[in-house]
Amino acid sequence: MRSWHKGAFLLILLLCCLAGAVCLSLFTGSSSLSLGELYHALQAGDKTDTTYRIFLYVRLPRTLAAIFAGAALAVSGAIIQAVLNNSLASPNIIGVNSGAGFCALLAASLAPTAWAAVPLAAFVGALATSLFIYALAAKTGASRITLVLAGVAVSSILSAGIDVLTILFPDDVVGATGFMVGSFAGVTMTALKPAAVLIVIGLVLALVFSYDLNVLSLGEEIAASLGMRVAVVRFLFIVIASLLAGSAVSFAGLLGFIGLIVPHICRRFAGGDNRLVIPCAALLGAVFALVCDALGNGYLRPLNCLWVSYWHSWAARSSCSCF
Amino acid sequence: MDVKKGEILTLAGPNGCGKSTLLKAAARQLPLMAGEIMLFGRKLDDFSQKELAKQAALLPQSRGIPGIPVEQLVLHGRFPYLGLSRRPGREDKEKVAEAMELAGVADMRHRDLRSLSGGERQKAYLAMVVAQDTDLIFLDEPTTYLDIGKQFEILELIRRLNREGKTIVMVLHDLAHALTYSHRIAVMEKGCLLAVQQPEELFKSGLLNDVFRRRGPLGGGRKNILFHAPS
Repeated sequence: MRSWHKGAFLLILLLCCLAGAVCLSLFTGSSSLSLGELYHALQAGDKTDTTYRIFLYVRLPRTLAAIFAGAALAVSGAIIQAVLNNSLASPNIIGVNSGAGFCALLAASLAPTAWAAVPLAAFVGALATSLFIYALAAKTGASRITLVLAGVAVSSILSAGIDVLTILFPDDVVGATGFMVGSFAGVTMTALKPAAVLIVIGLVLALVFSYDLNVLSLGEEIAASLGMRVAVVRFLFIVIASLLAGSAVSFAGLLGFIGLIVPHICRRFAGGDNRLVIPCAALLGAVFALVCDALGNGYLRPLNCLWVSYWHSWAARSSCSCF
Repeated sequence: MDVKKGEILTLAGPNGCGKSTLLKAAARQLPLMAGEIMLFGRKLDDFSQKELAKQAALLPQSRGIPGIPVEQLVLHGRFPYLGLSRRPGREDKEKVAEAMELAGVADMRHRDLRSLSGGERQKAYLAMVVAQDTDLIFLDEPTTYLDIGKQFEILELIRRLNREGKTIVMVLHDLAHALTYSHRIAVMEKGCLLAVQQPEELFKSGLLNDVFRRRGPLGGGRKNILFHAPS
């Protein structure tokens, strides 16, 4: 029962942090917005009111985008680290970032006027690349190490492709730089909705199968001896992870770092039980994305992207010294 | 080669002779290149993964060390019996308690696996295998990396499991242990089964001397159990 209490305490603590981070995110931005103003604007329901419009079309989508992207990337990272039993793994190891980046740039180069196609291209690229990497690894034995090697190899090839596109079509891809760094600025509800639906499905599946993830973490041989069809279950988890991360990068760009750091922090406090690690990662991922975005957006304008990168390197260094 | 119900059969032989390969193939963790393995009169391939997990358990030599309490590890042994909700029932909890008692890990049930010594961890894994409640247990070098005292503790535990009715097939490197704790020993060399004998007979036959001293090519007339169909 002791561990049950600890889990409940952790989740409640993270929920409180999330509530705080949501407030921070909603009330920071390039124009100040107080709680009182917002309350009056929402009560009046005047759609032409500036405060109302800022809240509905800028702040709310941005906050929701950070919540969904943070949760999705962190859970995706937690799944991939557990499935591959590799602490350095994150969604980019299964080609999510390189696949999404390459397809987004390809779409931007082929159809420079159709910017709406970029998120879709990113999603398709992420999912297709991770499935291709899995198929490649399966063909050569489907062990964890072949999956990592296939991921690294395919990602390198796609990164080279990204460089080629950048050199060949510098004018067309100039707008895609923001996408490559990752940002929640300019996210609309229309872009968010389909991705959010997929993320919710992915999170539910991750929670439902979190016990199986525990068994898989015992090692492939023990899991198989316990009656698990290891190849099928591993494939299922890779699909869930790429669905989550692919959906997130489709509207938020390449924010892969959350998927690396947050699961480590969660495991540090929640232990090795994925039934607790997964919800903790979802909550902490959301908090992490919200806080980074709010700090960058509100206090280091217009350096939010740089701030995120700085955070990344800082967190990576401090987590290295912790673990 | 037959394994008799209720015996401890040890696979012995020089490094690379195929002991672990045979053990894993018998637990359906490696594909067969030829021949056939039957379990309780049925072909191994006819079992579903869950059915097989209720009949035979494999404890491999190398595995990860997850950061979970001992009790949770032992509970994983009940995985083949859990429903879709993955919630353990009363019977599962009873089996887990019995298994922890039998393996002597009941008093460390709340401790994290990572904080245990090698011997304690091995006992915890054995408790998981016991909780799996199978008649047949495959153990791949269960005493490796342990000091001599702990090796005997583990071997005594294996003997206790056997007396509880489990059939045990294991790979051991220490011949003295194999001769002391097995009902029968299967001697292998270069993928071939040379003999399956009781320890006294085997010791007297001098075969062990031949196998462990001589590494020359094999003579004719011996059955290649991995690459030829059994006659």
